[in-house]
Amino acid sequence: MDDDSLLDDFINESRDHLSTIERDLMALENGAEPELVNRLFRAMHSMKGGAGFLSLTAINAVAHRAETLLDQVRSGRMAPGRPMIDLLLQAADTIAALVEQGRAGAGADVVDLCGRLDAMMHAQAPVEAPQAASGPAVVLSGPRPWASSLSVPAAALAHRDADHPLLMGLRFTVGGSAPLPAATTTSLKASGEILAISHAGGAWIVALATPMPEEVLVSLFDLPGEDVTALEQPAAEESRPQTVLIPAAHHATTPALTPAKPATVATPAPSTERHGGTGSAAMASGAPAAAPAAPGAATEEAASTVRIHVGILDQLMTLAGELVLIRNQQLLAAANATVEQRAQIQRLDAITTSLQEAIMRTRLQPIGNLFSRFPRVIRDLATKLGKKINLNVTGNEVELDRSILEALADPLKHLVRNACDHGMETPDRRIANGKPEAGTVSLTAWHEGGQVNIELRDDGPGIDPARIRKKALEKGLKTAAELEAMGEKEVLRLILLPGFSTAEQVTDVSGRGVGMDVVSTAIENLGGTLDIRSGVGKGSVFHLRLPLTLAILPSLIVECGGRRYAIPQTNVDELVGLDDAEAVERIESAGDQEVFRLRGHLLPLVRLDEVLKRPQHLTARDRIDITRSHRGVRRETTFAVVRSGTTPFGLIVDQVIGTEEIVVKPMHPALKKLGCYAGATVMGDGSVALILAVEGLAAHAGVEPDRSEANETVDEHDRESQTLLLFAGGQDERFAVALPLIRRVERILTKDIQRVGGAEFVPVDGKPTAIIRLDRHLPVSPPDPGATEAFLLLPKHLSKPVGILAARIIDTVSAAVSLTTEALPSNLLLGTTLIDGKMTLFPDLYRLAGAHDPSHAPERSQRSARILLAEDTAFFRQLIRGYLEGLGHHVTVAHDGEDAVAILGRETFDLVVSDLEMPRCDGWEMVRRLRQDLRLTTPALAVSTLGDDRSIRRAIDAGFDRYEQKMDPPRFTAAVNDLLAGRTATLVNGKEAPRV
Amino acid sequence: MSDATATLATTERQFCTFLVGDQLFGLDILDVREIVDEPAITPVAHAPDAVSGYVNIRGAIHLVLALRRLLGTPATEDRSRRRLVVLKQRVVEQCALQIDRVGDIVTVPVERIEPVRGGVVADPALVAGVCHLDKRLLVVLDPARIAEAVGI
Repeated sequence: MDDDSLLDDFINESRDHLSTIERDLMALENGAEPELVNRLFRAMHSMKGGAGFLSLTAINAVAHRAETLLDQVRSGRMAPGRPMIDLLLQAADTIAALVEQGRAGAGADVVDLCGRLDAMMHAQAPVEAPQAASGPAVVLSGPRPWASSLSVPAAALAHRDADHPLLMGLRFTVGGSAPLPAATTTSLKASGEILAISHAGGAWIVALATPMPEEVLVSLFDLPGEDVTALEQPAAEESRPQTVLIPAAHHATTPALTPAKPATVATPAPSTERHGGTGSAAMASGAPAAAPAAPGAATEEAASTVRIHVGILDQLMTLAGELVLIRNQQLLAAANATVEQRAQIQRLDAITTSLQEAIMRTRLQPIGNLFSRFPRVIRDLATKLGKKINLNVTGNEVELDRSILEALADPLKHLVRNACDHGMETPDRRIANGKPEAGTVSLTAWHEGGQVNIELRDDGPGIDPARIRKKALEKGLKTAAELEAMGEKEVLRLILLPGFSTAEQVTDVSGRGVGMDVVSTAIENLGGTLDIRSGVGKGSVFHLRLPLTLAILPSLIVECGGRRYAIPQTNVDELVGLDDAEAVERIESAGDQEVFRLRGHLLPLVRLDEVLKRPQHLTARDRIDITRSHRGVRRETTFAVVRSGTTPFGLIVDQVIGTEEIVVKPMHPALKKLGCYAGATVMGDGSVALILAVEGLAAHAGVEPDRSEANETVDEHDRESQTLLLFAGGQDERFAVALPLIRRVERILTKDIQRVGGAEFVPVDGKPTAIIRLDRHLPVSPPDPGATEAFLLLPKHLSKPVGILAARIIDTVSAAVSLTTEALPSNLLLGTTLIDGKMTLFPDLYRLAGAHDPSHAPERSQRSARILLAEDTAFFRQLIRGYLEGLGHHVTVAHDGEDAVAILGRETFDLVVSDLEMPRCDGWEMVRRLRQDLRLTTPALAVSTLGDDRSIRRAIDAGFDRYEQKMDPPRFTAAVNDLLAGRTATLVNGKEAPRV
Repeated sequence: MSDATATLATTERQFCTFLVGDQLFGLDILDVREIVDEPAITPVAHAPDAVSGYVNIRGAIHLVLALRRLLGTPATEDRSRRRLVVLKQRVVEQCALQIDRVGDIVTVPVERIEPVRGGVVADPALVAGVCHLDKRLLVVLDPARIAEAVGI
């Protein structure tokens, strides 16, 4: 057996020991039960021996001292006080850290800790005759009469390691009952292990396990020869009923004695989790801990377990997975098989299933292995935070896949820490609120519906949705309107967003806002879900649902483009099928996104085939193309409602095949960066199918909950052309609005329109939304009064919910338009143009809103100013000119920068409003020449679709005073008013300019 | 690998040869695990151009690289002799190369392998060397470079 595998064994065993040490140390606070102390001693001792054998000197040094302290406790010479337990816990932590470092930690610096352990030892050095040692004793005797019956704890004797082969008796005559000099005690400890001390006839008699022979001890302690003697155990030892020998398992844990122990013999540390049902570990600062289980269980288990390398288990798992595939292929072939063959295939099927389950069980571990960490975590936190917290643990025996267990450790720890920090009031506040002084955190695990459920419950202050709303708004994570539309459950889920933290005081425990999103992502990556419930003042509940295993994943199999794909079942909420008529009627568009109204909520739709066609992340243009190409297509449509994080969306596929349990294989390293896949699997027919990553698909498709609000920068080469939404207002006229100005198009039923006074309202998202009828304001035809449905165009950037009524949505087109105001002059129209040979009217949404309800009208300026507008795009020229004139200003138009500079050279203006990207002379050059060549200080406002910091910086550096992104009318109006009023502070989009 | 090379005279190398288009290529026989008939390939959308997709070779999923696209050689009409050259796990993890036709195993003295000259294939970085056989030129490929080319 090589050294490395010995090291592996040592590490594994030490982990087992450490997991019990921590629990036992905390139980020690409740009383030094002999079995408890013995177990602690044995664990430390065994690690000390192993570390010594492997030359891991740092571990050896710490474990040795901890063992010595525990020995004092065991022999009743020291009482395990809080400081000692704290120190021993630290020692255990240090050993744990060193064990994980393996060889690298061999020479770590542990001088400080060793010093403190030594100090603890000396501070309470034995000065009195020891009490009768706890536990069974072995009587030693030697040739000298004074050494005839030395009682030594059996466990200590059995654990004497190879470094201390000799058993010696020493007699120190002190006269009367004087204590043993401290110097002597120290030397004794340095020379070996003190097994027992007794006082008789004015002398101390010490039994010492030591490597030093008689003559060395004589000179070392300056003792007469007759006061040192060799001891031995009487031969009749076995017959003594109280002599307990160490369980066989523990011999194996002493590497110093059995260095060549086979790696496959397992010696799990005494563990209550595996057999224990419901265990309760009440823990707090000073609160009692549950007594550990009887040692019998551990011994039994040791006899029936073997330690197997994880690699072998993984290999078995893989082989079982392949067997499942062959079984599946056989099942497919069974249709054409003979009766006998079919019977065999059925047997193969049954056995394979059992085999798979059995192998899966080898990977399962009790969740108690993880839960057992938390009493310590809570104890430390409670101390640190000055709180009193009890922990109740239920369901330690629930098993789940070890890889899930490992991956769950950090997220669960974070949740527990949160529960202690945000989730628990201080004792005074609890008393003030009429609650028990000590808070309770409960961890419960159980099986349900093929999943493992873990619930973390606290009886703290709960999560206040009002505070979450406020925080989300402050942090700009959600708009007020979005928050209003959210249910309480959704609001609670906001704490899972990146950058969210509600702790009013950021402590070093939690509250840095980098936790809950990581927790929720980690749980999702495991194929699990996290639900949050809370009652203000009552407490919070975090409910995790996890699959039993990661290797086999229940999945929905779908077909798209002739290929099969698997979607993990945990990501699928439901399936929706639409017939061809419904597909046309019920798939609507919001901005550039197809949406479906599912029980009152707008669900974005993603077409899998379209997403897979496009290797690059979808742009607004892609989405518009997709939306347009599918509009009105009568085709049966099926989609799965899938969930990625907090955003559900509908994934449109060609066909749903069914559900299947698939064996997950990771993506090949060359394809790891493809976000749309979570892995691959081999199907029953032997072909490979890809497993879709719902989160990655959402990112690729650009699905965001607030997408419709996003102000996307149009591609540069598209600047000239506008994406227009064409609609019919009444029966004849055709209208168009720029799509970027529309937040959403809503389908309404005319019967839902309610009349209040002269105004009409319709509920949209539960809010009464005022309806603007174009025929009331413009000389156009009214919609067919018999129509049962209509559409409502909801413009962006309005303070109140208002929609423009449209009879029909015709199309979206991308066109470079040049508007004319001659054909149909009206201040409520931007102008008219011909699209596809048809006259199309461009209503001015904002003036219409203003005409409808004066509170929407832009604030009119005090005086009429002269403004130069440089803009090469006809559409924007018209739009911006409209706004400025609407504010009562006089506008002169320049078609590019060159034109603008020429006009500025001969006329004076109060304000220059300019686009940036223009032919001949762009906006940056124009303003540079304005400032440098013409030496004019006329305020200048840049208005552009460009949103990148560099362009903005360049604009400010060139001489613009303000920068506004196209096109937010209220902010634009505010900027114009500011500049005309002489408020020329440099602002970008109403805020301070970004630094570069 | 050390024992295999030890038995083979260090002055000779054996190559598994194959055609991609009309060009003869070779991979060191020590780098090749097996050559299999081309099973149904599952394309992976969004993958790099040179990736043909995934195949299942006896229960294990392998990545299939189209050598033709990596080397820039024209496609052949005849697909009937297409095979997959499966590389050893230590060379490139779970990876098979799509070739047009399998050739012989050739043994070549090391000194006859010359450094690559430009113009043989589109990407000379993939080539470890060339060797003049009796009638034709054998282009020796470097599997590690192939792996690099697809970002492994």
